Amino acid sequence: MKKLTKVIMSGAAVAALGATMAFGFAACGGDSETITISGSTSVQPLMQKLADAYMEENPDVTINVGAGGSGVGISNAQDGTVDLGMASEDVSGEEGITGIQIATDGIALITSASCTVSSVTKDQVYGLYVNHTAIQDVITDAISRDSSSGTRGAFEDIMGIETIYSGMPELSSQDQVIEQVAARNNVIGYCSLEALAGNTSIKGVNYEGIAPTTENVASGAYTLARPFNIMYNTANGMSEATAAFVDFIFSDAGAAIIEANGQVVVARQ
Amino acid sequence: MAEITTEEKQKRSFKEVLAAAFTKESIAKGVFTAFAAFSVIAVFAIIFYILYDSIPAFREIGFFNFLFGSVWNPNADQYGILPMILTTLVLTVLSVVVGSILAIFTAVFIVYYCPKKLKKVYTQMVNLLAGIPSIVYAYFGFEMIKPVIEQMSGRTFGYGILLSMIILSIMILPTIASISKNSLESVPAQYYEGSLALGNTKNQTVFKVMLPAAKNGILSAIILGIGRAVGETMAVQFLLGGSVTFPTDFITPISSLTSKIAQEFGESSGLHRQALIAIGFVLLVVILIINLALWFVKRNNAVAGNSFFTRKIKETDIEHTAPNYKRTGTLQDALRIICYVIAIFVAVALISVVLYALIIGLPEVTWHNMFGRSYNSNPTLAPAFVSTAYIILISLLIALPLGIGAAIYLNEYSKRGSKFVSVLRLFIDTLAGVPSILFGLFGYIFFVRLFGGACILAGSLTIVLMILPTIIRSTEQSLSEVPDSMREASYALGAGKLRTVFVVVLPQALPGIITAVILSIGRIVGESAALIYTAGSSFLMPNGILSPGSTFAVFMFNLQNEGLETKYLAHAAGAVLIIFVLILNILIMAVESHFNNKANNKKGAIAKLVDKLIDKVKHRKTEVIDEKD
Repeated sequence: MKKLTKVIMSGAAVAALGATMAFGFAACGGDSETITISGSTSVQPLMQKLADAYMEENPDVTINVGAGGSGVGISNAQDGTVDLGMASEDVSGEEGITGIQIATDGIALITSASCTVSSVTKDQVYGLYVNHTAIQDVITDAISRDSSSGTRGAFEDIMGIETIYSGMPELSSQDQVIEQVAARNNVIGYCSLEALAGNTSIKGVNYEGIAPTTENVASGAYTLARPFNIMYNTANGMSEATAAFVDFIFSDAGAAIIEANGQVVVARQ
Repeated sequence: MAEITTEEKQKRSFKEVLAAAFTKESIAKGVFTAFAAFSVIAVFAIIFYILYDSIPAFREIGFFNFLFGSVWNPNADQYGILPMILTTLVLTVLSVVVGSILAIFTAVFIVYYCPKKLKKVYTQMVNLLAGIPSIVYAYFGFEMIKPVIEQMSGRTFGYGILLSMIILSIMILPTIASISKNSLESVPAQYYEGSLALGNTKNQTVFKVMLPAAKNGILSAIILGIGRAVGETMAVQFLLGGSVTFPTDFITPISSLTSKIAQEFGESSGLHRQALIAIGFVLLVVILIINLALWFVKRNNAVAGNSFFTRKIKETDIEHTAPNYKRTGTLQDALRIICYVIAIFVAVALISVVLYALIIGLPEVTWHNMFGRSYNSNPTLAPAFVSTAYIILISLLIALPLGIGAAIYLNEYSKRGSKFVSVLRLFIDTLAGVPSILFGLFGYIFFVRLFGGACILAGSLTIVLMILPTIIRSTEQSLSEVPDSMREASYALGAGKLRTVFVVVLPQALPGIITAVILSIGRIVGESAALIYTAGSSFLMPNGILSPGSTFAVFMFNLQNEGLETKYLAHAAGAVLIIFVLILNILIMAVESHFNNKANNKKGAIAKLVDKLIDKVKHRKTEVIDEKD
């Protein structure tokens, strides 16, 4: 009988010890600098690459890049729950935060590599997305992103779309869109320009006669483009570690990563 | 002591009263009661917080505009969920009809037609498939069934109700089948023998006597299936396609209540997020109604089960038997053949899910993919091992004492049949029936806000609520199997109640507790909807319990969602998940056989006979622990 009490007691002790150790571990984690970033899923892949490169150089810094969408990035920065928010839209009108544009990103209209359509106009795209009218009798269906996607917000703003036709797949990520488009010859979708690089299963079609390239985005000729912003809580300012990471983004190494990722580098304002 | 005055007497008795009120025994009873009441608090907390956070949405959008609006367009502040309500309804009805028909025939096959050698294997297979995470079923449907639908229908996209229905009915099948099997097995043998003695064939007996006799149990199995189908989130999110339209076409992109929450919650803010929480509240109301229905069916079930000896044969029954006698023979024979066909179909379907996951996943299970250093843009599964271990450890550390305490109260302290106990049971069952996406929403509203961000601790606390009913039910079940004579013997030797419980009763219930632990681990490993917003979805190694971390299923969901570059890793995660489930199932079997052997070796012939009797009673009582997603 006593044996069992002992077993229970020691079990409790082990449990308590485990809990303390876990908490201690958690507290220890605070010693190294942690930067939390959340927001737009469009900015996320770029930010992850920047963060990985930065962490490689500075092993004592951990950068957690979470997704959440542009709206979450903005509201988290406003709440101060993250060090940096990410948004793939203009944030100059938002209260309580300071935005920094780190890059410009083009939105590419994509079809499968073997699709016969190579150039579309704004009216054609609008017609397909809103009224389900085929483009050049070839592209009969379109794919969109879900309502909380920043890319969709930017795309619909630029195209002037208010309501897309019902029954169109609204997918949760860019890669899902690419996967579905690549498998069909009669479908168009949209995604960040960077996704075109190195992906042979899809191609970017010319929009209003202009090819979707970073050069055309930089020159302003390709109009399907939006800013990539990061923002911090104006009242709190940036921590030292965060500021150092932002400096890294605008360094030559950072610019190289941005370029390699298919975005257009902008000067720090 | 003649000198003691009356005053002193009073004093002493007051002290005694105080002492009596604070004995070890009464404190223990209080603690156990509190643990048992925790489920009630949890259910109320979930209802309250989800309602509280939906009120702004109801107020701003308008209750009727929200429920009966037909346009969902958050960018234009239009939030109508009628199409999603109807889609959930249609999808649930279709998959429950298909799933239950398959499941009931499967159960009949297992109990009455399965060759003896195959029976154990087949039962184990069904058990195994009940444990496979929904995310694995999801990508099976996405990669195998969707292209087939596209080819056969000629449509551009195979998304939609048809695709989801196929996967959903396979998913709910094991749950319904195993509960139906239990209730078929608990139909008294006299029914079977009596029917045969009256000259019925075996097929007639099975389909006209045994199946109707088990109908209450089967009905509660179906209601459980409805709960699962309504609450299923991650699988349908991949398969439905995301557009918000009325369910007029079964092969067109569409959204259900749960799929919309899962798809947009993570990236929403402001009114959009509140509206999604309000969808969660609507879902919660639906689930509560389903749970109440289940409760009523179970209550009726109890009455029917006890009164089978006194059950009167209705006159109508006799009337029906006579004209049916001749022609039923052929019908039941046909049903038997259907039974075999369905059993084979189910086996093939279920095995192909497992094989598919293993065949495309195992080649990716390399040392680097498992244990290499994980980066944001080049992840490995190493963080998933650590996060999953953390969450299992923390949630079991909290849920086990709570659950065992509650079970002790229910079985040892409560008055059997009291109102309080039946209310407690109702709440525990309700908690078991809450879909994991709602635990996720609650965890987000309550724990994530408490800790200021998604982290392993918030995820673990959410999981505690989820696994608590499993632990309570499994422990209570094995406590109730401890014969009363052991308690009486313990009391007779002078042990108090507390000591009896801990020293005599609880050790006997060890197998049940271990089974509960294994079942809970299974749920945690496969869980995605409850964790994705509470424990976060980081690809990095967690550094402590206050940092975000993804378990296997969440990892797999994210990898599958991000697609393309990381898909190979999603496949690897799928294979690892299947292997986990396999190991856990083997563990459960091992625990069962170990304790059975141990018990059998110790006891004499009479004790073994008693055991057999207890086993029979146990079979009647067996209520399969609800495996909800």
